[in-house]
Amino acid sequence: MKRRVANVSVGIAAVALVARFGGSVVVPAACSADITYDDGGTRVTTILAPDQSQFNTVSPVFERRCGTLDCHGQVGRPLRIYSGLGLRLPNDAGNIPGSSATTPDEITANYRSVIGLQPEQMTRVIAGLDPPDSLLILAKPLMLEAHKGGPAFAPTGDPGAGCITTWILGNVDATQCAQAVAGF
Amino acid sequence: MNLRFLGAGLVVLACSDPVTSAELDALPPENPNVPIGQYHRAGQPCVVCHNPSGPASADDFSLGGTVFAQAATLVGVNNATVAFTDTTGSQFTTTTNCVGNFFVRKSDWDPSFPIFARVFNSTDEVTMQGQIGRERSCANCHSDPDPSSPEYFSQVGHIFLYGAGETPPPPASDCPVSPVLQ
Repeated sequence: MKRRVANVSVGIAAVALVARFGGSVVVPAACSADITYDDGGTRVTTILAPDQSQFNTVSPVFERRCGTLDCHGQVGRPLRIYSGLGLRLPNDAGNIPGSSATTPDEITANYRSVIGLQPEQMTRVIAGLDPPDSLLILAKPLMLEAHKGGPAFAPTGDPGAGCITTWILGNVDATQCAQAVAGF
Repeated sequence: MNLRFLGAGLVVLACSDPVTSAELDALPPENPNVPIGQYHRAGQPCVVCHNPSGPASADDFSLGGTVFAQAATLVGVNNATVAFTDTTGSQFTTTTNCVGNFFVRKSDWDPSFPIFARVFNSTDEVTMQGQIGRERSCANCHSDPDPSSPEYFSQVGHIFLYGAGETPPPPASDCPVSPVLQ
């Protein structure tokens, strides 16, 4: 059995990355520091994620472009997306699909779906080690990876991709986010 | 004997898709008063059967559904136009029959998803607020689950053309089967 030793210095380095990429936040994991194993390998436990406060602007893109009831608006799918027109978070307020606007709780649930899909890769992207389109939330709709739902975004110049990319990079482009849902 | 084994193998292959099998099992039985054809199974998910691996594979549908009169009733609307536009801009229209059923054969139109849809006749028009991502059976999202079921939060209700304050025209009197489900 491997003996695990908390490596606090790596944890501090993660916080330093947040300072460098100021638009991002640290989402505490089960352990507050990364862990080094006897073999020298480091298992990152700290997660870096895009800013939740900017996600209100981004959530409609996921809702309208990804979250229809027959795609990611299904409880059995990864990247589960809730929305006013699609899947509703179970509630006692009588909110059913099409009855009312997306609620703050549903936007929070969408944020958790987005950052929880690939936490390690999201951390690498926020840290500047990989580009945003290495994430499935962009690679799949852009068809850089196989996507059962097909090309949800145009391969170039789609404002939906622009909205998500700028959010990940810490400075969300609200104009592109609005353009991305016009007509959808 | 070899042929018998071959036949058994083919049956096993035909039933090997657990998703299709579960969807088929979930369908209610045929209404004995409605012959199999364009009027049958109104309000049910057409493409469960009408797909290349389904029991109605000879009649492969791109899309299929039912238009009812109002939110509170299940009376089929005759002769409504259902218009689709796919992601490439390709358009296709079809018309409901007297029980409200409509369908698009894949041989007539094989769209690229997502698709936008609207339903209209000479007096009313309803445009779908979102796009169809990839579902070919309208009823897989447009159904009316019991409020106590988990599906209550994931179903948008049946398709209807007339508002609550309107008086829809009476059901088609010359329909070979009853257009009134409820």
